[in-house]
Amino acid sequence: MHNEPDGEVMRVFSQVLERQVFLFPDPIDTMEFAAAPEKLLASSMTFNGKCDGGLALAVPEALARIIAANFLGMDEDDPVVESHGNDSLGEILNVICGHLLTALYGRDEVFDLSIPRPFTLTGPEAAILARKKGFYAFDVDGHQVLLQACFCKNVPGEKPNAVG
Amino acid sequence: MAWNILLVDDSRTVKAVIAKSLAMSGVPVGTLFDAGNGIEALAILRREKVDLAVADINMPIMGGMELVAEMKRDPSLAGIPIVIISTEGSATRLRELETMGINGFLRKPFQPEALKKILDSILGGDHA
Repeated sequence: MHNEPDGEVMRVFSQVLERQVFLFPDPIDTMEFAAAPEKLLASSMTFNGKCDGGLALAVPEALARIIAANFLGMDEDDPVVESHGNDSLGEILNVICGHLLTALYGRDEVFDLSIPRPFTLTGPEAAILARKKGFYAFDVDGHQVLLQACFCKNVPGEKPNAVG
Repeated sequence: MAWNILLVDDSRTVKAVIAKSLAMSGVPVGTLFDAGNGIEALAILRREKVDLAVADINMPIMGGMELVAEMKRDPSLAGIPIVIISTEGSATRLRELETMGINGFLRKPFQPEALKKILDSILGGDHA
């Protein structure tokens, strides 16, 4: 299976967010990605197999709380939710990665996935990254979200692109 | 009869979601044990009476594939049913897991009803 990577990245991201945490992303132009005043929680992971590469996802703290709350089926204000922000973001990224690789390479390929690694970005840092190749921007529940999909080699329809 | 179940996943969020799904499934749960990787899981399995293990594949230190292999190598653990819940979509890997002797597989994201169906087939559906 050799589908168009850009379309698959956006389709899989939307599908996972809808199914897992009941949120509905709208793609936006990365040039319109604005520097949010608040910190962004982020998670990144790599994959190895027929193609090597990595994914990263950065969301504003307020949206991370909504994602965690919806994941757990709890109220956003529940104190338990706060401590699940990074963890639920990493899990969302993990699910996106698994489904994206299946969508692009089919069910016969085996990939090894790394453990999602949490980090943070400032709004201005995210705005700079958004303009680089391999980044996708979405509006999710009024929050701007940044997704990076980086394929280092052997990606159908995609030229080599360094993880960064 | 209540079942002692071991959840093996490095994500606290996923373990919380599975625990909630178990509660919704109507399966009578005795003790819910919790491990963050395969090594921790093996320690619990060798120390406690566990009726069923639910494990992820992609975990630090020791992943789900190695955990299944270790359990099947150990005669005292080989008979404990194992359900894998993972983002894994590879049919090749799923066949490998089935050959190794897992009792059920769910791909994330999963519906609580799908977990209940698998548990019913393993533990018997007359608990509700």
